[in-house]
Amino acid sequence: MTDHLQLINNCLKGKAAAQKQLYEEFAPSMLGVCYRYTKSLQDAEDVLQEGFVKVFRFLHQYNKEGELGAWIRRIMVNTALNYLKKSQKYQYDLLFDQAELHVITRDDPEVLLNAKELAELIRQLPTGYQTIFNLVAVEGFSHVEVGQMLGISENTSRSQYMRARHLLISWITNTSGNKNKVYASK
Amino acid sequence: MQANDFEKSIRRKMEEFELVPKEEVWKQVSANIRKEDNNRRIFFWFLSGFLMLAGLAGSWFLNRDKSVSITKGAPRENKAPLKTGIRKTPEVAENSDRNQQTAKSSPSITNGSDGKIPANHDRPATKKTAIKIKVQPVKKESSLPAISNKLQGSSVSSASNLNDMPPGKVLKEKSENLPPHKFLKTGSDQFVKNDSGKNGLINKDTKKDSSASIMEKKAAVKKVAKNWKIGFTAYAGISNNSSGLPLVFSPSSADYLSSSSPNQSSGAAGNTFLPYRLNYKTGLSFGLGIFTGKQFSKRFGLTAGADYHFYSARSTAGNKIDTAATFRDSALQSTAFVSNFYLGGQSGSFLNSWHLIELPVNLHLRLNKNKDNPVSFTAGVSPGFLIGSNALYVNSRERVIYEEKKQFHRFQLSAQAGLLFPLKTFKTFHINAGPVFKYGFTNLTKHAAATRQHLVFAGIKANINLK
Repeated sequence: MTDHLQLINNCLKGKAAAQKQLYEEFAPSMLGVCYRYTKSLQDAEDVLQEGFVKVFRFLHQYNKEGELGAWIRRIMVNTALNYLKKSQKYQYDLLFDQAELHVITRDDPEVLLNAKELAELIRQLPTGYQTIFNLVAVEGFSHVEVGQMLGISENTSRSQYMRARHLLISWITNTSGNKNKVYASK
Repeated sequence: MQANDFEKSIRRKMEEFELVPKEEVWKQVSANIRKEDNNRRIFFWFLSGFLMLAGLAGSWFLNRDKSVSITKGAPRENKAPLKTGIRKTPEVAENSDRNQQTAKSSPSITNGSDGKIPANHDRPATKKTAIKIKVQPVKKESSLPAISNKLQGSSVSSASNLNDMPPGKVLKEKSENLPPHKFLKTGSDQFVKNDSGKNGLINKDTKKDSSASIMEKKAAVKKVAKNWKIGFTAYAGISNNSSGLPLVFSPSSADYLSSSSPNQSSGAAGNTFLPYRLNYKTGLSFGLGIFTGKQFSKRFGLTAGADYHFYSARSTAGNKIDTAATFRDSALQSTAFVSNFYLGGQSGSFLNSWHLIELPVNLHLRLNKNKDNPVSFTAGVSPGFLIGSNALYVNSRERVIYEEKKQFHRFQLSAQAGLLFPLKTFKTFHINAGPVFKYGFTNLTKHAAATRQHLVFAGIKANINLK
């Protein structure tokens, strides 16, 4: 934390070396975040770039008490959501329907996939499902918060999440039995 | 496995998930940061430059009259730096020497043959000239033949002739025999000599100044004179609602107000009648404003500005009734909702007030020739806008008096005239003040109100002119 404070102070002074150090420390994990919200690595890098510009622009607003990584991650998530809303190719997929909640299986599989495999599966979800699943399951937001962030009702968020979860579980179950088949096309 | 465990497992795995971005991403991020920094820096420098320019303009604006006073008070040709600069050119140096010799030859300027300036010479510039003469003493006897030689063909051919002539004549004689460019220079110096009054003899020495410096001085004076100046204005005095002009109506029953309560018959016996007019008495008035002005010539100038002006006048009224009421006025075609109103009568008085925003445009004519203490006659017009009033209105049909804003014309045009005398001069501003009279041409009230009301103001106006 002390190192981060020093790093932040140097970044605020406009030192390019410190800025690069901060970027290099957080860019890989943040690109992982961006990757989960988008459908291509190019889009993820665009989000990462835009997010880091915001990080440096608003670094003076960081209160230095919370975790710096969490603060940057929150910026990345918000940037990714804005990117999805602005981008034409994601807009149609982000339309959330008000369908009734489906009954899903309670038998949750054990996730044997590695991180990259799991991320790839999440990215294969429809964008609406993908976004809500990321926000709820990975980021830990409540459905109320997700509803506020996406401009949808809490129930819509909940139902979309359950669908996404059900779909993902079915994929994990299939993929776990035959991993090579899933990744053969990648 | 519990449902919650699935999310925990997903979260744990995703926290481990990392991807290394391409190098171009950092380049783009870095470029964007630099661009924002540059924009911020440009804005900062632009703001700094703007503030600096504003500061310079402000200081120049506040100090520009000082330069004028210097130009007026002490001729610039007597300033040492300018003199030194001119001496650097050989031709001017030659003329300077010649002029010095000429100056020394005059008994008016020297105290005997030692070249000393009379002790009672009080101007600093003149003292500098005297010092110069001391530093470069030239013997009278030896200098005069030199002058004679240089002024080829001149009628001034001997020392005695030079001494006998008045200084102006010496210059004139010289100028007649000089080449055109030197003649011009001599003529300019002659102008300076006359302009500076009692320092005329010293100015022969200041002939060493070039004509360019004199032209520069004249241009500076002209430039300052033609600049727009700003200032503040204040009024204080008394105002009235042209109560001297009677509001004439035929003395029928409709022209009188009954002192009885509203909506009662006016023909009842024992009713006392109120003349159909409000008798106004003078009230206090004041105004504040800002103006900008320009001097077009030595005598004429123009100012234009914006003022807030408060007028007031007392009027008589009857008893006050503190009851909310609604009155229909067929003349104004309006309905008034009032919280209180007055009956006709003379028992009480009411302070009417009017608030106007005016845009006065005044022509200034300087009456005297004293530049330092100019007395000006000012006259002009003031388009104005009535922004508020609590003035009473006589509703003859209802036989009541109440505040009615709908009776007024909002646009008002008035004319003013007055005198301005110099009052006091400070470092950064000077104050002129004098009597002013203002009369409102426009009838305050609408035609339907069937009254004639004109605001009149008489008082003192003070102009604070920033230097």
